[in-house]
Amino acid sequence: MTARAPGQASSRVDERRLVGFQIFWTVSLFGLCALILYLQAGQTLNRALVSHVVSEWDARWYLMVAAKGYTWNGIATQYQDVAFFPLYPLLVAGLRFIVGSPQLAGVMLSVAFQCAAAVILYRIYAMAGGQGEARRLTALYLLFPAGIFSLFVYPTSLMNALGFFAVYAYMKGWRGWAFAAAGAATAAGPALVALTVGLAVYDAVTKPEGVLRRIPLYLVGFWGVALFGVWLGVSVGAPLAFNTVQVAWHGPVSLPLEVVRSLTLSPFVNGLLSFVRSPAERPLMYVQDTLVAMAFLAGLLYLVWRGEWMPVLLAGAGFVVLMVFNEAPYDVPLSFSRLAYPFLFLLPMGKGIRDVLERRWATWLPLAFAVWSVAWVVIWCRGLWVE
Amino acid sequence: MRRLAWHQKLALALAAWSVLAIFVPAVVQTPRAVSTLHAYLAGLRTRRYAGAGWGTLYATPAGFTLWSLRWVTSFDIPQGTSAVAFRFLPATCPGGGAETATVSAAGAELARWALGPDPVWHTVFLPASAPVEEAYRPPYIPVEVAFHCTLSPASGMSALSENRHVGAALTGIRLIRRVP
Repeated sequence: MTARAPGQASSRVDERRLVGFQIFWTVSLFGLCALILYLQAGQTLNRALVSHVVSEWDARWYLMVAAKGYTWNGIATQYQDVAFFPLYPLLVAGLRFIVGSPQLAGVMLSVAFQCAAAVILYRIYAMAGGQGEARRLTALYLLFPAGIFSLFVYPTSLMNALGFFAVYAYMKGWRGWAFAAAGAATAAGPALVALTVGLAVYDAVTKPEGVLRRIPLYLVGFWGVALFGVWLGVSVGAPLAFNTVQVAWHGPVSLPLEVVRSLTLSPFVNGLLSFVRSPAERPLMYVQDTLVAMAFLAGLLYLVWRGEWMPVLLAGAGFVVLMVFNEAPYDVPLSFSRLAYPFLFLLPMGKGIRDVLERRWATWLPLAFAVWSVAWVVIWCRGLWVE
Repeated sequence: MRRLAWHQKLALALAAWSVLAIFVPAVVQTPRAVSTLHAYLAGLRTRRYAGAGWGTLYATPAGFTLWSLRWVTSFDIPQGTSAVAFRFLPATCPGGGAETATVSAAGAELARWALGPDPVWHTVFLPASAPVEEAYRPPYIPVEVAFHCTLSPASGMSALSENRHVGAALTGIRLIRRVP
């Protein structure tokens, strides 16, 4: 009789429970939204309204790309579809053939990838620490306020799942798969380029022998964004159109003053102060982004102090990129929190962070995250009806 | 005291930088000293918004009724700005209809324009009275531009069901500085 490795069975049970919890959480939040809409204006969730509900903010762009592909008129300053990365809309377009509705396809993919991200993250944490810690930390991941983007037609959870898989594969020693997955993540969103950079730097520094031979492998970590460029080159004749538009939105990064000012986090602190004066959706976003940015920074510095380089490089690359390019919060709620989401949850790979999150006060974090997420859903659903 | 490792020194240096850079500007509100900095930063902002391309802000769908669509975009103007000039692209309301843009700051409507086919500059003067500025968030003044579209129920529902992108666009912002 073959002996089962200790903890193997309960690990599978944990993973199933996490998936079950994510589905329960999704249904609960949608249910809450339906209740609010009903109580507020007697609206029932008919097809048009549901489609409106899940297509908030930038979702319409992904749906447009999924339906019609890319267009480009050469005007960098115009808000247009080339800035939205192709992997997620490509998958939506594929699943749409099976389920019929692009909105339904989008939400199914978002929830499915959020489940996958949770399972992979659980395995990363279990490898780094143990199953108990992994269970608690992954629950924290699922309840994190930016997790509500797995309710929408948004690529957030796809980016997270691919990013986590890249890290997991790297930890398992599957270097090729790690960079292939990191490359796929760059086709889902531009921020994940930072993960490839972090992985490559970590790999080069920790295993300097034969590093030159591995440069092609590092380049594989950018295949997604490179392929997107080729696609745009062929389809609209401008391979760097996505970059042109993104730079026009974010503003040119003019060294060194703008970068320094970005790194001060002062836009976020101003937001925090403004909350005292007028609590509403936008300041709530600023407060959240401020707290997340500060917690992220504190976690990074603590890991630098302890010399835990893998999470520092992987998460730190993301943090720096987001601070530099995300100088001012956007219109879209949870902006920094959403973009920092995959990087932030790489921090507990460091034992220092896991130890901090084992302390008594941290046992309240899941509840705080859940309450905050519910607050978001309430604010967002109330805003769906404009007099 | 034991000797610190290099990465511990690095962590301390970064932490010191973070505390200085984050908390000092937020806490120190000594008007004269800070206003110099604000004026400098405002100057940076002004340049960034003034050029072609920068300051292009786009409306976000905030919701709908059957009869009208309204997109709101908001942004921060540096304090010390006395007036702001906006230029709009002709709005792209589905099904046509009357299109207007409203500019407001601190919840008060400042100006309203009917949007014509040609993008021309419209100037709005920001209120300078103390009670209004009290509500502003230094060093920036939040200004909101709302675009309004009047739609028939049919065209509104059609736009929603097709998930068509609709919106109006700001194509330029010029800041006019207050002379001290």
